[in-house]
This record gives sequence, structure tokens and C-alpha cells, in this order.
Amino acid sequence: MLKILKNKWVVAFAIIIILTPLGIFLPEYFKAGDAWGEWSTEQVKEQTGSVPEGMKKEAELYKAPIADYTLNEESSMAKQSLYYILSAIIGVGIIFILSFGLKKLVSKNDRDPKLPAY
Amino acid sequence: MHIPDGYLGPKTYITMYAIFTAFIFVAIKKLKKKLSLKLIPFLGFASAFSFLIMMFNIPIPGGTTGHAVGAALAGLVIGPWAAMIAVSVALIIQALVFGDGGITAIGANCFTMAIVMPFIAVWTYKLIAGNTDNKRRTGVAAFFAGYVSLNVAALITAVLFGLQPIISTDAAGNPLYSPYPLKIAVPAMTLEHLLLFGIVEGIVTMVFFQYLKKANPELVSNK
Repeated sequence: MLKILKNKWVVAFAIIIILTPLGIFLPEYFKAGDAWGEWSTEQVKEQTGSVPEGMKKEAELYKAPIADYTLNEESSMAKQSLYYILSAIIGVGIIFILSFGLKKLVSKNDRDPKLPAY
Repeated sequence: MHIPDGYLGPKTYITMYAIFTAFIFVAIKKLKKKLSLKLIPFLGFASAFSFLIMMFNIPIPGGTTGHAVGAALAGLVIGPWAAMIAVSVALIIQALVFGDGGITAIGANCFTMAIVMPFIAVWTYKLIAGNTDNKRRTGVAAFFAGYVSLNVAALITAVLFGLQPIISTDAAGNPLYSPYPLKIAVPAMTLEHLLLFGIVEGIVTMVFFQYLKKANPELVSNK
């Protein structure tokens, strides 16, 4: 564990992950809403008076397992921060697993064995 | 800039999926030739960095939010074709796991953020920096690589939104998908990126690029 902390990449990513809740605190503090064009169908209805037919159907096509990087949008800021950090870890974890798989794949059919393996 | 499900009609999202698939096909072909074990960790780092930097939502007080994408930095460091794969992976995870960007819009979102951004970034950088190694000039070049590329991506996204009420309507002419016309979508999206989010992408690109160039000079070579 201590050895892993000596890797500057691991440390850098850990710091960025811990700071991610800033991405929910700052919008909350400055009372900023969603990004432009990323509104829910309810919000579109509020803005325009109705939800277009195609949008209504297409919006229900897929439900993400951890929608909006949270498990409960109503919970406290502390809990939201925790969900946000966990989401960051899950996302980075998936990317790590994918790159590891790719590395295995490439090292199996690597044509240049002289390259350092790391 | 993550278009959700429901905003793009099938005509648009199928076209964008086709364009995206074609680019990824070329990227994989190109990378197969020169993908070394040495590059793979950096492919992963670029993907993870892009994923994380997009979590930092920046507010316009009382208005909307936006964020940097990290695709310009990825383009400058690992080259546009590798960056395309790295950022696409981040965007696809965001769509599938976190519902950030729709699954129908994966092609469109990957086109703007993973394809357009790294290429525009590399071209902008080369245009400004030329072959110099001068720290100030490469810094300015990296800033504008981020600034210009994010703004181009935002403009394309706005046009995709704004086209919907024109090309996807019911028999009576009512919009079936995104109801906001070009004259609303384009100014709204471009202004916020010109005035704020583009500057953030520029600063992120500049700071990390200068650092990586100093710490890993062999990595950040002219690609």
C-alpha cells in the first residue's frame, strides 16, 4: 500500500478524485442548474409547456444504474459527495480494468519484445 | 455538452453513430500499427483524466453549468487518434453507467468531444507553436488548443440541437425532439463556452501540458 503511494500518477489521480465533489458544491453554492440542453423531460415541460412526443419516448429508453453519479438526489450534501467520489472511483476503476485488459492483449501479440513492459 | 436521450431524432443520431464508427475504425487501425505497451498506461491516464475533469461542473451563477473535457490535453499528449479512443471510452462509461449523455447520443457526443476536440486542439497548437520549444509560446498554444477546440465542439453540439425542430417534426410541424431552434441553441451554447468554459479548458490544457512536457519530455513529442 505504501509502495503504491510512491507512484506519482496514483497520488495525482487520488487528489483529483477527492476534489471531485467541488463539481457539485460550486453549482449548488452559485445556484446554477443543469448544463444547457441536458434538462429532464419535466424541466422541458416547465420551459416550453409540453414535452415533444419523440423526446418522451426516447428519454425512457435507458435507465443508467448510477444515474447522475448519485444513488439518491435528495440526500444530504455529505452523502452526495460520497456518492460522487464513489462514482469517480468506479469510473476510473472501469478504465483501469479496460487498459489492463488491453495491455494483456497487446503483450500477447506484441511484435516488439524489446519494449519495456510496465 | 452531453446530449441526453430524447433530444436527437433517429436521422441525426444514426448519422452520428455512423460517423463515429468510421473514425473509431480508422483510429484502431492506426493504433494497431504503433500501439506499444508503453503507450497503453497513458491511454488509460488520458481516459481517466478526461472522465474526472468532466465531473468538475463549473457554474454560471444563477444560470447553467458546464465543464472542461480534457480532450485537448489528451490530443496534445498522446496524439489525436489515441485521444479519440481514450475520450470515447470515458464518454461511453458516462452514458452507460451514469446516464451522463444518452445512449442514442453516444455517436454525437463522441464525435464532438472525442473526435473534433483532439484534432482541433492539435491543429491549433501547431498553428501557434510551430516548431518552437519556447515555454511562453507553447503555453499560449496549449491554452488556445483547449479554448478553440471546446468552442468548436460546443458549436457543433448547438447546431445538432438546433437542427432538430427543422428536420424532426410531426405532420403538423411540431418538433418531435429537441424543441429549441438554432437561433436559441447556438447563441446560448456558444456564448457560455466562449466566455467561461472554453477559458477553463484552455487553462486546464495549458497547466497540465506544461507540467507533463517538463516531467515527461519524451512523452510530449510532436505528434
